[in-house]
Amino acid sequence: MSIRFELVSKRYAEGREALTDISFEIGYGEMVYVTGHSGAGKSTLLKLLALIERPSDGFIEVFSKRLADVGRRALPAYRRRLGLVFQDHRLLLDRNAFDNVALPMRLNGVVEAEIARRVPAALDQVGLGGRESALPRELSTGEQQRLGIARAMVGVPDLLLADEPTGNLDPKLAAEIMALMISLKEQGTTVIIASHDLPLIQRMRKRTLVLDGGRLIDDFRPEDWYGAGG
Amino acid sequence: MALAAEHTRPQGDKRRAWMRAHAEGMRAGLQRLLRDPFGQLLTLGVIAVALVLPALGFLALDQIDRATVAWRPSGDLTVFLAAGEPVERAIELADALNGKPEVAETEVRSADDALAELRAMSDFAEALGALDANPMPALVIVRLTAAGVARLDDFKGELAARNEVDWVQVDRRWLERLEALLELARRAILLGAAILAVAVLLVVGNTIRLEISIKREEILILKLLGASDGHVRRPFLYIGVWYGIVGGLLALALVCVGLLVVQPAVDRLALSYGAGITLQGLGTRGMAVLVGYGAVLGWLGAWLASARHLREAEPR
Repeated sequence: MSIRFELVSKRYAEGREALTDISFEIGYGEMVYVTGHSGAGKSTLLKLLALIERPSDGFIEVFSKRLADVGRRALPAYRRRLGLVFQDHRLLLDRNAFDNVALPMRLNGVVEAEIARRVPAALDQVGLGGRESALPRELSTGEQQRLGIARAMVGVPDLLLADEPTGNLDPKLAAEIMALMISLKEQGTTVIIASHDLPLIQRMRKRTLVLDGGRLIDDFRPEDWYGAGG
Repeated sequence: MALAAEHTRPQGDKRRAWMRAHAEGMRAGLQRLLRDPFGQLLTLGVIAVALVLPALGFLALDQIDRATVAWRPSGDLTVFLAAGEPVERAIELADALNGKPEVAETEVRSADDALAELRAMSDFAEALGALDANPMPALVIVRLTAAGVARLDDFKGELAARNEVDWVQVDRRWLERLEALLELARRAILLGAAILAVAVLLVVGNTIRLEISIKREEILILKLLGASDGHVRRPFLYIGVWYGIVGGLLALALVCVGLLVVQPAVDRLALSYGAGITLQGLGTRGMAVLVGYGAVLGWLGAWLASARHLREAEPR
């Protein structure tokens, strides 16, 4: 299994329980949506996978490694295997689009010639071709979102975690971004997308974990979608 | 929008990445300093002063050391013969001593030579001219071998016991006192340098703390993307190093200005002793040590601050 959650709970310091006894497994190269209302625990689930937060109870296994065993020293190497798309984009504001997208590859020690070849292609894939020298503040919110997506995908991560990746995109662009993520999944990347865009999720017809009040209340499989769609 | 994504994982080269990260850190650190050099003047000024004070102290000690070398007696022992002993006795004594293992060489001065030397070296020429007779005895200056130095007191006693000898002066005593004083001054300067070094660490540390707080968002993003602590810390270390280097260069300039200011006063002092003294600068090695010392202090201050404050910066 690529990812395994076993009775995972997360309580924040103020006592709020964001996740309660969550258990599920995700296979290698699987694409999974996590959906639910605001405060359902979608972002917390992604944060646990990115080791931004640690579970209060239960255990998480990613790529056959218990995340509890990933200490401070091993954390950067673990995170370099991930691609992260944030709701708030988290771009480096004083670096241009090229340097923002190049960042994960530079952290992974990829040679500059390879970076110079891949970054323009990645920008082109998200519709930002020719905007290499643009600073984030010169881009619209949607463009910043796509820049963040290009950064997450360019290094072909083992696990892509995307928090509302299409939140600021029009339906056509959102569909194209989803198609890109599918092509990434088909090359072996496990993709987990937190979204409350139900129409999009229904269109994609992928496995979907449904959270409500921090509990996993449903686990739709693609076959369920096809059954539901008639 | 092209959808043909490239999905082969790019391969990394850790060694090249490490070298590139250092080059990038060095460039970014210098850029940070150059972006607002006048804004950094206070920090740079504190570093320069903290470096220049011990540098001037050591330089002064070095000058004193050089100056006293010129004024030091030419021998380790001066054997004064009894009044009225002719110079021939001094020559006989020198010949007798030359064969001894304690003695490297000897030099004989007649009473007249000694008087002439005294006239030349002091302000008492007129007073000496008023004397009816030469009060100076003949003397033998004895330069000792290492064996002689090792048994200095015994050898001095043997010489003093000779009939023709009135008094034996160990020329090293005042020098030893001077050296003890210089050593005391050296330690005081070292202590001062250590205190000032702590001041540099605090100033650089505080500057780096501010830099880290300004760059907090960027640090969090880098950590989220998998940057190691070393990677995140590196630009701040280079900022510290550049502060140290530029502070060291400023200190060098201040040393040069200091020497120029002090030289006329030294000239006047030297003239009163009938000597010419040119103040020596730090030299190439000294300059490299000063700038290198600044760089090390800057690095250490940055390391201490970044180790503490970067640990606190964790994405949430």
